[in-house]
Amino acid sequence: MSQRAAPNSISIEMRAIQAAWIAMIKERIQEFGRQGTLAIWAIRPIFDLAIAALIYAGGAKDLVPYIVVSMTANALVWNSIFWVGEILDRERRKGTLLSLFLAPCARLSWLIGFAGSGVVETAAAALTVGVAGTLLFGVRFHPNVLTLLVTLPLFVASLIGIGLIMSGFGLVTKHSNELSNVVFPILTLLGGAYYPMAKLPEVPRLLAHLLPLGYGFQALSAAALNDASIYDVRASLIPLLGFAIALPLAGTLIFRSLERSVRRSGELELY
Amino acid sequence: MNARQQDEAIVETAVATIAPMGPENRHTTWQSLRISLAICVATARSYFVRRSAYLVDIIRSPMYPAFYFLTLVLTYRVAGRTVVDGFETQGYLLVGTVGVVLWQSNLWASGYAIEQERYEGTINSLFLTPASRAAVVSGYALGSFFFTILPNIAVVAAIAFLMHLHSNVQNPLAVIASVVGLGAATYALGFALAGVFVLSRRANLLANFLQSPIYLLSGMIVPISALPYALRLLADVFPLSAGMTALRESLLAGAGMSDVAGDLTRLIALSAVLMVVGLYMLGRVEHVAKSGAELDFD
Repeated sequence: MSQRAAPNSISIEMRAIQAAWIAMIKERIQEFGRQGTLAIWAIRPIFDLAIAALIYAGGAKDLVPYIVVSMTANALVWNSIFWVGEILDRERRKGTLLSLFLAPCARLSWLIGFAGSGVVETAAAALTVGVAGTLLFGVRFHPNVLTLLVTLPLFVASLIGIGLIMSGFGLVTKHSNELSNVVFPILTLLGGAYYPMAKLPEVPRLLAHLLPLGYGFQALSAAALNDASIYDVRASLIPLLGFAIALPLAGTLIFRSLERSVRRSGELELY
Repeated sequence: MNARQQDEAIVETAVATIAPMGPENRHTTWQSLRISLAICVATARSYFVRRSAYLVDIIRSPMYPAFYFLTLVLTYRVAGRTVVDGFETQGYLLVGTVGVVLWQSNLWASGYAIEQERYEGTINSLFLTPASRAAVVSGYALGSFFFTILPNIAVVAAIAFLMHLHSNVQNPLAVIASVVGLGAATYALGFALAGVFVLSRRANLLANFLQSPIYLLSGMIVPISALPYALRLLADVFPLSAGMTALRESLLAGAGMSDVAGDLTRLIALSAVLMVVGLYMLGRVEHVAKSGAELDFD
């Protein structure tokens, strides 16, 4: 009798992530393929960029390139709040949440797989804003690829942490979209998508330092526009690194704790 | 008889029961109005009760305009602009926020009304009832007035108080007429979109998409004079821009009724066109529903 080695738990989880990602990305592509949905979704942030750019056009024009980059990166923030944060509630509405919780793999595996499928609309929105910034507002990029390659994963890791926290609270509140609509305006106000953190008055600037967004936008804009090296953006990268470590950990713990409490109270599928 | 034919038979029976009313059963105009009003109030009550069922929904409602306003105040400040289109920046934006509140409220209430019924699985039942669809849409708008607009306006007023904003009102009637006109125009736009949203089957996407372009075209956030020429032409025929101008002039520049009469006339005329479009689109939805298309499906 021959015996095959049982796959280890890490490879099972990796396969679960991959399977969840493929399943969801197929669903997303099918959804986006209908009636120009992806195009409409991708064009939407251009109007936000236009509003900000028109405001700066009558004043500090030198900040237009910054907001082009920050609004491009803001597509990731949007995705972490409105896509990652709402995944579980969306599954609940589809009636598939309980089945997902019964799947023989870690909850985080399929959640990470589902979260990753947001790459389609995020990439489309980011690309559209970036191109619009170049064509409409004449912004020229001088990117430092290495700095971008270091900054972007740190920024994304921080946002995944925020998305996990949102996802957990979405399970508790049972209205994750409403919760997203509470949180996103706060992140917009303090995050620095519309202005660099350093230009804010004292109180909002202090509050902005409690979030990873401003650091991410600053480092990304410096790297994308001014060929800034890792050393040049260290003042933003060091706090961002801290957020990139702390937020996913905190997100995992908070998500697990909230998810467990919802399961214990038997409210997983209740509205 | 298969399931589809059975469904059609039920619909035909229902329609046959409702439709051929003889003179003795036909409602007078007054009775029709009373029935429509009752439907409108009942829908508004239902909307209010459903929306206030969750704490997060209650908190969310007034938060967006307040935070958006503060974001824009900071953006203008960072841009170094203290005056916009001849008005103090904060005053300009505060009036713009009133427009944002009215537009958002009507977009997501009256505009989204029939789509909401579809989302909740009640659209087919709605089209089987003899209730006026316009009354249902208006009911959503009325519910939203109490659930969204009033709390939002209170928050906006509180912000104005805290920021010591100064108004220059010479004729309160002109301010009231401008607010009512702007509210009516946003309602008319929402009404026109109600049918479009359902037929598109992409209501959420379209509603999300339409928010910012309307801010731009109506001069809520940035002056229309700052827009490129082509967009300025579009803004000129867009009803909300006339309402925003009238409200700003009457609230911040002391304009009287005669000063804003032109804008208000344009507002009323364009709103009437939108109402006609809305009625036509609701008729189209009804036609599609009765011809067997499954509107409750995505």
